[in-house]
Amino acid sequence: MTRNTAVPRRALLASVPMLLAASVAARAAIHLELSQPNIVPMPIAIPPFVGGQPNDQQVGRDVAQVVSADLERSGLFQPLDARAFIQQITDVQTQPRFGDWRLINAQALVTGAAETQPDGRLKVEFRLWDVIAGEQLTGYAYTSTAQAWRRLAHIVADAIYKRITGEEGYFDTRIVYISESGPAVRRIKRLAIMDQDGANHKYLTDGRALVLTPRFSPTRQEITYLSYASGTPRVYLFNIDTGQQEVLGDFPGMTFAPRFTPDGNKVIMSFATGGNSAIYTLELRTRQATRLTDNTAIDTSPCYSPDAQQIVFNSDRGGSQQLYIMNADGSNIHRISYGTGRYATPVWSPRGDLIAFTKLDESNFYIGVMKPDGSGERLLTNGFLVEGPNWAPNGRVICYFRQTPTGPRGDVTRLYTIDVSGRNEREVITPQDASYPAWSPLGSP
Amino acid sequence: MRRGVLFSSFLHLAVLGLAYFHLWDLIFPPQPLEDTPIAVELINIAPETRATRLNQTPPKPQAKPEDETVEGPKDLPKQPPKPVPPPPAPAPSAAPPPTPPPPQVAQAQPEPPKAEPKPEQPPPPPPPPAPAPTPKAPPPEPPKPTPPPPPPPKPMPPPDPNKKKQDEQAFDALLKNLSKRAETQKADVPPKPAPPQQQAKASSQPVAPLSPQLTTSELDLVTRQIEQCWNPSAAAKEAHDLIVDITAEVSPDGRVLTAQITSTARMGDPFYRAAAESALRAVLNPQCSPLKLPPEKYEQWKTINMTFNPKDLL
Repeated sequence: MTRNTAVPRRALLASVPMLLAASVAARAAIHLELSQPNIVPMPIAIPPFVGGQPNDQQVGRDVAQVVSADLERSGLFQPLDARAFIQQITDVQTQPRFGDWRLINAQALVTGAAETQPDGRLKVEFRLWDVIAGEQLTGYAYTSTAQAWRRLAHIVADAIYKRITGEEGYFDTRIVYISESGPAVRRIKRLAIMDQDGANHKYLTDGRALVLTPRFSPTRQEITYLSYASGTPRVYLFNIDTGQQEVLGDFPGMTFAPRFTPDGNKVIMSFATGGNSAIYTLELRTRQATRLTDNTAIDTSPCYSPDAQQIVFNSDRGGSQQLYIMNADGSNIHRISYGTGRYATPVWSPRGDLIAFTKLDESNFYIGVMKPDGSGERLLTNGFLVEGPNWAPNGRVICYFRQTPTGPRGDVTRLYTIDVSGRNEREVITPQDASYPAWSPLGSP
Repeated sequence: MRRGVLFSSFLHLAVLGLAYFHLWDLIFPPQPLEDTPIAVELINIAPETRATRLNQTPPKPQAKPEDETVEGPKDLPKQPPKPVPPPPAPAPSAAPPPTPPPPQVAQAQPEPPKAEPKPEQPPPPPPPPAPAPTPKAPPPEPPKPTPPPPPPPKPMPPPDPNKKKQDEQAFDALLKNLSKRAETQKADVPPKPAPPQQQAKASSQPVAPLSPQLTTSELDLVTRQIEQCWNPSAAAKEAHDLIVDITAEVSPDGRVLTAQITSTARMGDPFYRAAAESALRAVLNPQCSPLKLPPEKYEQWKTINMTFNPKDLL
């Protein structure tokens, strides 16, 4: 201090340039370019939902558990162990103590409540909190029958998923597939359906007829699939609500590889006759068929783009099996796959940006994706036999089946899902062998 | 006659010899076809800068004999020890104790940085003004700034470039010391009045004033640090378009005070909003705080503009 007064002038002089410089510096700011994210599942805390009565408490725990399992299975979230929780959530209406949740490195927190209403219905509400920013991100309440608590939980998980990732969820969905059992020579194949997490499993057909390649209608509770019920393979339509099934169209031969148009009003499929197979559409209301390709080659596995303007299919017209795209009226056919090997079963992503396919290259099967212009091919997984890719309704996850040879007794065939990034490959648990999965649209009860 | 023949033979031989043995080169040395190669040594910027500063200080270089190869700052992120590789600017004449003090100190203490809010060029205050023996309570560590006992003071090591590397540790120790010192000063003296005085002092030091610009390595280090906490949703549709700008105000101890998304035009798009929020979480995440930036250059980084561009993501 005394020095200060002793050398005021010098200090002053010395400080002048510094002040100048400091004023310049004050305006300065550094700029950082970040381009290498560290992709890891987001740590999220999902304590049991608060229940009003003892009965509700169990429901609250169950709901939170289903939400947690859904998010965990997506590979994008890492639910934290409840034993680490510091704060006990007892009230959904008050703001949580964010500090307590930051301490356990949670980045998001879900608080919720389950309460049986006087009329016997179940009300589930939740709030999603950004622990780091210390604010609420979203919150909703849903009411339904008490039996539908699982579905409510899936809807909550979808809302959380959407708020965090920006994408629609896919938890409130179902998967229809072919359940297989019995020895290879007398294989029994039945249509089966379950929630996307494997719950609520049930069989739709009795197994007397061989069935293949089921596809969900995007708009109705209907499934189109291939069945040998009449002796020759034909495309059928199955109504989930009524259990009725009927042959689609009056084709004098084999029809296969059916798929709905995005509006659900037509089915596009292959019709084979005389060693040639062409692509047709069939109007469901009028049952009017329209031929789209006319070629000596085998054209099959057609699939519409989500805007219904184009169709991707595979054909051997160029010598080997490759992917082609044409306009919805059959014009402007052009090849898009130019990699090594053979390509089959193309499926256009519901969000339009990718086409998933099966590829056979040097006796290895792959599931891959490419852009609709054929660029950006990426192989997501491979194996002895991986086949039948199909998209989750959000275009983010692909399901398919994998056959693994286990020995002389036969193979094991199971359903799998994988993120379109190629990460997070998971088996979908089914009671028996399973193949040809197809995802329902979001919100399919 | 015979003489003539001999003479002639000799001449012929001489000419042939010149031609055959390139003896001509002896008379007119040939120009090199190419420039002689110049050995170039590629070094990271940070070590270089660091070395420069180090040299100016008299610290004893051989505090630690262990030879650590110079690492880019990028490797450091994990190490708790002094995250800041950067050069401390000024060197206090006091020799830094070689003590291997826990590096955390730098981070742990939130207060020290405040000491010099506006150090311009000669950032770190020189030791002199400091009441040497300060009892400073806070510093729990042994690294007392005071007399480093063991040092075999080598006064003139600085210029030697080779030694730069090995000094890293010593240097860190020095850094630590510095921060401690700053802290102690703080504790003793009201912070505000202090700075000007210190600076004046600093400038009077023999240490040449160095630019406070952050080096590429320093920027890389903090970039890596924040990237560690950046966890956008992988494979979001058109992820490469989701470029987010964030401006953060940072306290002198490297903690983010406020952070704001400045590219708000597309916040209505749920994909963009999700991307922007994930970037914001990266900046605010306590796991990536405090930011690993050299305290003496605080003026440069008290505002940080960041662009999150997941272009490499799928």
